[in-house]
Amino acid sequence: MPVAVRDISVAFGERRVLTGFTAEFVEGSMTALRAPSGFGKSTLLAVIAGHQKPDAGTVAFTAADGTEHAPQISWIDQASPVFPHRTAAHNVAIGALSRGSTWEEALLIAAGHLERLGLEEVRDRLGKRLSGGERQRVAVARSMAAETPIILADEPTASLDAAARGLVIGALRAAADAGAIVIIATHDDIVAERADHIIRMDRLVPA
Amino acid sequence: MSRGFHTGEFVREHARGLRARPWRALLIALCAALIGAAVPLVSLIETGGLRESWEQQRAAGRFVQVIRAGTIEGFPVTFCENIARTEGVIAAGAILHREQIQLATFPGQNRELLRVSPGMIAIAWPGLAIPGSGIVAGKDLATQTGLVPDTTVNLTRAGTSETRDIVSIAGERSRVDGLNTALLEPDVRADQYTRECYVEMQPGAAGAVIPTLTEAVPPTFKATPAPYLKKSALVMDPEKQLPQRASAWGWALGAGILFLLLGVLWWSGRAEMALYRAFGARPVQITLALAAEVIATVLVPVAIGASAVIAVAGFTGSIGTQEYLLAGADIARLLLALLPLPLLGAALAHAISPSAVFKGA
Ligand SMILES: Nc1ncnc2c1ncn2[C@@H]1O[C@H](COP(=O)(O)OP(=O)(O)O)[C@@H](O)[C@H]1O
Ligand SMILES: [Mg+2]
Repeated sequence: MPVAVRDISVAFGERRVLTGFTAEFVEGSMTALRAPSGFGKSTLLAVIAGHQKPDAGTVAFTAADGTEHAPQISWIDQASPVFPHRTAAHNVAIGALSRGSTWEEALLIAAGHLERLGLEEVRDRLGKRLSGGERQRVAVARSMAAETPIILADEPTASLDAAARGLVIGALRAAADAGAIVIIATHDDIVAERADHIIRMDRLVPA
Repeated sequence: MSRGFHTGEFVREHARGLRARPWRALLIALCAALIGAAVPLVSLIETGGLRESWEQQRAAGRFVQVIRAGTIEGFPVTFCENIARTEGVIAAGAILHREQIQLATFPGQNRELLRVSPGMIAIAWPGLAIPGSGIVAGKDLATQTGLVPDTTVNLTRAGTSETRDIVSIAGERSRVDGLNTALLEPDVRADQYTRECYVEMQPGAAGAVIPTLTEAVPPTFKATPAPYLKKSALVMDPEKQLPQRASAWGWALGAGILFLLLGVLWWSGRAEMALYRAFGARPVQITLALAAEVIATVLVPVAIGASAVIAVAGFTGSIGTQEYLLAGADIARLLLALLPLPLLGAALAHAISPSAVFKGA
C-alpha cells in the first residue's frame, strides 16, 4: 500500500513551509527527509500522519486492490510518551497487543525487540524511571512490536549516543526490510546512509 | 495478523494497568464500599428515627381521630365498633353515657362512671387488657381511693347501692381527657347510640383511611372527621415524610461523589488513554474497559458495602420490612445511577484525540 503525497502546500501565516510537495513512498523502503531545521520535515510528517491539515494537496493510501483507506501509522519522536506506570517490557508488549496478539504472545514479541534495542537490562523498569534515551528506544521498540505498515520518525536519533543511535537505525531498517514504509525526518548523516531514498527538503524548488 | 486490539485483550490490558497502580483502584473501591454502606445506613437510621417518633406520637394519641355525627341522635355504636375492622385502623370506640356515682368508701364525693363501647378502653389506654366486662378505674381515681384490681366496690348510683367488680386499674394516664378520675364500664349492648366515635389509625394509614371512613358514614349522620388532638394535624400523614426525608437523596449524593471521583481519575489518566488510542484502541473498546473497571471497582464494592449494612442490621434485628424496602430501593437507585458511569468514560474516549500525545500534533 504505497503512500502518495501530491501537491501538498502548508503555510503558517506568511510563512510558506511546504509548496506543492509531491512524493511517493513504497512498501519495504526507508526514506530520509533531509534538511537543516525549519524546512518543513516535521510538518510533512504531521500531514502524512493526519495531525496537520494541509492548505492544499492530498495524501492517499492506496491498497493493492485500488481501495483507499487509512492504515495504522506509528509515530516516533524524541518526546514519544511511554506508559509511566508500566515496565519497559509491558510498554513494548502493548505495541504487539495492538496488532491483535494475546498477552503471552506479546510478551515474547516484546522480548525480541527489547533485545534488538539493547533494553534487556531495563526491561522490568517502570516507564517513569527510564532515562530519556531509554524511553525513546522503548517507544521505537513498541512501534516495531506494533508492526504498523507505516512508520513516521521525527529526528529519532537526535538525543541518542552513538551505540543507541545504531540500534534505532537498525530497528527502523529492519522494519523497512520487513515491508514497512519508513519515513524519517533527520539531519543525521548515518540515518541517511542507511536509507533507500533521500529527499533534500532544503533543495526543493518551489513550483 | 489481524490489526487492532482484540477487545477482550484490551479489557484485560486495562485491568493490568489498574493493577500496576493498585492504590488507585483500592481507593475507588474503598470509597464505593463506604458509599454503598452509608446510603442504606443513613436511610435506616433516619427511617428508624421517624418510626420511633411516630410510635411515640401514636402512644400519645396523635393518630386518634374523632368522627362526629351531625345529628342529635348520633349513629349506632355498632357502626363505630365496626370501623375497628377497617384496614389501617387500630381501635375504634365511643363513650355512650356519663353518670355521677358515689363510692361506699368515699361517701359524699361524686365520681364519674362512663359507659363505653369495648373498643374505647383501647383508645383510652392502648395495650391495657381487660378480661370480661368489669370496671376499669382511671389512674388518678385508683390512687386517690386505693382501689386495686380483682376486688369489688360498693357504689351508689341514683340512690341505689350496687356491688361491682373492679377488673383493671389503668397504669398509664389516659389519652382521652377526663378519664383519669373516672370509672369505665364496657357496654356491649348493640342498640346504643353515640355522637362521637374515636378511631385510632396506624401511623401513615390516616391518609388512606379517613376518606374510606367518610364514605362509609351513612349520609344521614353527616359525620365530619377531625383529629382528636389539635397538633395531630401536623403528623397525620407520616408516609409523606418517608419520600421527603433527607436520606432519600443519599443515593444521588453518593453517585455524584463517585462520578466526580472517577471523572477526576480518568481525566488525570487521559494521556495514557490517548496513547492507547494512538495504538489503535477504539473508543468502544476503551468504553468497555472502563465499564469493566466500573463493575470491579465501583458496582461490586457498593453492593458489598450495602449488603454488609443490611446483613448487620438484619442480624441485630433492628429493621422492619418497610425499612428493608426503603433501604433496598435506595441501594437500587444508587446502582442504577452508577450504570451510566461508563458513558462518562465513553465521552472521554471520544474527546481524546489519539494524536494528542504527540508533539507533532
Ligand atoms: N504550528 C505552527 N505554527 C506556526 N509555525 C509553524 C508551526 N509548525 C511549524 N512552523 C514553522 O514552520 C517551519 C517548518 O517547521 P518544521 O516542519 O518543524 O521544520 P523542521 O522539522 O524541518 O525543522 C518552521 O519555521 C516553524 O517555525
Ligand atoms: Mg522538526
